[in-house]
Amino acid sequence: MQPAGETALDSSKRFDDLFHAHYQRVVGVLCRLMGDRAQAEEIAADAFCKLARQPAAEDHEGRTSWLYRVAINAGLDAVRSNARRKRREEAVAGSPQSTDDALDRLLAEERRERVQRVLAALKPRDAQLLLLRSDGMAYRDLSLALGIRLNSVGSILARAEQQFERKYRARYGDRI
Amino acid sequence: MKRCFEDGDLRAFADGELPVESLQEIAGHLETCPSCSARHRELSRRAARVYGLMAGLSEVDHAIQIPRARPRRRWWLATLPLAAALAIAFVRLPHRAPVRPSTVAQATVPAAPLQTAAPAARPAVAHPVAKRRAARRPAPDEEFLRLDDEPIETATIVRVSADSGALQADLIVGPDGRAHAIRVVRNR
Repeated sequence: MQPAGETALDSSKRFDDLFHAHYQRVVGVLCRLMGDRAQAEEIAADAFCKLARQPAAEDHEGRTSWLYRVAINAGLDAVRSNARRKRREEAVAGSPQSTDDALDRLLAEERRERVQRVLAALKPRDAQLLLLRSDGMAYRDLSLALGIRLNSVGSILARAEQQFERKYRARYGDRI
Repeated sequence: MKRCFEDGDLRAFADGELPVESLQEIAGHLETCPSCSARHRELSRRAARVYGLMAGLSEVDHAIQIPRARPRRRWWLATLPLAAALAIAFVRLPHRAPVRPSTVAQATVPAAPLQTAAPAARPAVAHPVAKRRAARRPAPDEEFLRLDDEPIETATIVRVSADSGALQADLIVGPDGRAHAIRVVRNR
């Protein structure tokens, strides 16, 4: 379904504009979240494909926020799935033997996985907000990307940060 | 004392994400309100801790390229040189002498280099006029001109002639009937 008066060409152009405006940001955020560029690009592409199949009834802001929500939620799902798979693999393989050279990498990997797990445990909107803000997105763009009022960004962000810290401390102790 | 501010305002203030007037108003208030000042400090420190942890996520170490759609292949554009050659031939052709393929030869043609395969596929000709001219070899500097960049595994070399054989060309035609290369045959 297309908005009244919109041709297929208009619809295609709207999608094209959205793609060029947001593809890099979506992949960048997913890449940071997942640490796997190929998987990030795959999820981003999937989100854009779903967007292309969406009825074009929504306005630009609606489609933008839909895109970010779907992409980041899919990224968080993949993080959960990856974590489950890794636990299974480690259970089969036993503890990995670390060398001195690999120690730093293992520690960095552990820090990353902790953040991933806490993000995956948050409400989706809080995780989306923290990921986009940590990627340097300005409040006005956050408002557009997540479909929240500009005046509410600060308060929602403050609550999301509080939740993140609380869950992190609950899982991994007070040393942050 | 002026009104105290919500956490959201203080958080946005910490990021400098408010209009200038609001930033000035809050900054003035923080100088006189210990409670808001303490909350502002705590919000800022928490944000620093949270984003410090999130910095442990993978860094995107190189620019992400927007994938570009492969341009749609317009194979018919590649046939334009052939069409042009045939159009010229028609102009020069007496109306009683139709353009027709004079010979067909089946040959296996490697993808590259084309010019090494072409001489092996010289056709045997049936038409008396064409037969006489078939004995003539094309000039050594005549090479096939690729009309596309698709690999060629099997193809048929078709010689077309016009103007009672005065104008001839060899075409490498794929199984789908599309011409992949052309060579004008210059008779000596």
